[in-house]
Amino acid sequence: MTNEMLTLAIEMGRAMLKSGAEVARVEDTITRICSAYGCDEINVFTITSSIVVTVRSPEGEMITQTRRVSSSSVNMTRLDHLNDLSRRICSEKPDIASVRPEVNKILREPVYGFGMLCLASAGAAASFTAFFGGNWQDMIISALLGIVLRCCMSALEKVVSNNMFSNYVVSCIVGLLAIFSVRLGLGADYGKIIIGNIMLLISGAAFFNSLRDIITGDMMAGILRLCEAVVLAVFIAAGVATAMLLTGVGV
Amino acid sequence: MKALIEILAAGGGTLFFAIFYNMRGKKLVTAGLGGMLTWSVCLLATDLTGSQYIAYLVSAMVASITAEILARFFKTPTTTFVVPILIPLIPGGGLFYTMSAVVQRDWITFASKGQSTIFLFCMLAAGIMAASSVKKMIEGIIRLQRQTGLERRSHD
Repeated sequence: MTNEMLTLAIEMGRAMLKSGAEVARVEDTITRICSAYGCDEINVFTITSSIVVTVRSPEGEMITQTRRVSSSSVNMTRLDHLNDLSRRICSEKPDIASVRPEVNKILREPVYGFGMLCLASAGAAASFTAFFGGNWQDMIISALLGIVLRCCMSALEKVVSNNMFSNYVVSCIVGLLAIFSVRLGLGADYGKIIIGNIMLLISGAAFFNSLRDIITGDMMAGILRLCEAVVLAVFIAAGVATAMLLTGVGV
Repeated sequence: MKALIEILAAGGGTLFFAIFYNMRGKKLVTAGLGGMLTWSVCLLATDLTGSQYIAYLVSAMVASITAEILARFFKTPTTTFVVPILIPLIPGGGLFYTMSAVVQRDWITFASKGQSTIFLFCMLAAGIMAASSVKKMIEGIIRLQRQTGLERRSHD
């Protein structure tokens, strides 16, 4: 009984962590669910890549479960619904077997389709190009490159599991195309076009969450996430630098 | 005119970014408006203080506090709003110009741009952390008041 409850709690915690929750929230959720079902001596340790929970069941038995967490895309709607469900579990204490389908339902909720993501990429890239001072020609090129970027990203995700490498390749491709577009006289300032597009690659969620983790005292998780964000930014910069060196813009 | 374009672009950028985070409906639109607010505050603070660094600190704090309030209002985790609303403050331009100076071997621009990008990141971090700490303190005060209130009632 306690084992099933713990499985549910840790699965929910993992789904929240993957959707972009801070570590403190994940630990808090797991602790609350376990204590709602009568466990005491609840020990939860979470970093961005792993969750470990040990509880003492109402029968006095110590139970431990761990989960390895792989990185995944941020999903605020899922996080929101999981949070609501965990609050409801804590206040109503429903039967575990009846909660399981609800969790599965939340995990199966729709995400935006590929077309919508392309559209959003185009919009965001054009917006950021305008934001950093690009003119309307730059905005149009930037929007088109935003779509290219999204297509390359989803193609690369299937082939390589290495996030760093795919960011490097994609930012290099975007850099090359931006510089060629200016050479062909289509865009005015390749810098503005590239900035608009690299804003899409920089992992804002990891950066902001890492700071919030650090300030709540979850140093390990915070430093891991911060490192990830900084290394990603370096790879993105390196990709653009490669594009500039290949086309001879620099030097 | 330039400021208006920047604010609108910040709002647009935030809105589209929120789509990557799978936000929907009212929250999506609110996030976009939040992005506009963040950049408006940043521009206003730059104008008043004359320092972009202080402006970043102030606007990061304002944005984080706004996100906390919005999260309370929509009954959702704070992360939902903190992440998209702060997006306009990411110094992506600084990152690019620093890197571009390296490629062009312009070490003077590299030093000045690199330094300002790092400072802006630090100010952003400080703003988020300060807002988060203030929120924790306020929560602590409310909890304390509630506890003392309960104790008094139990004494009566």
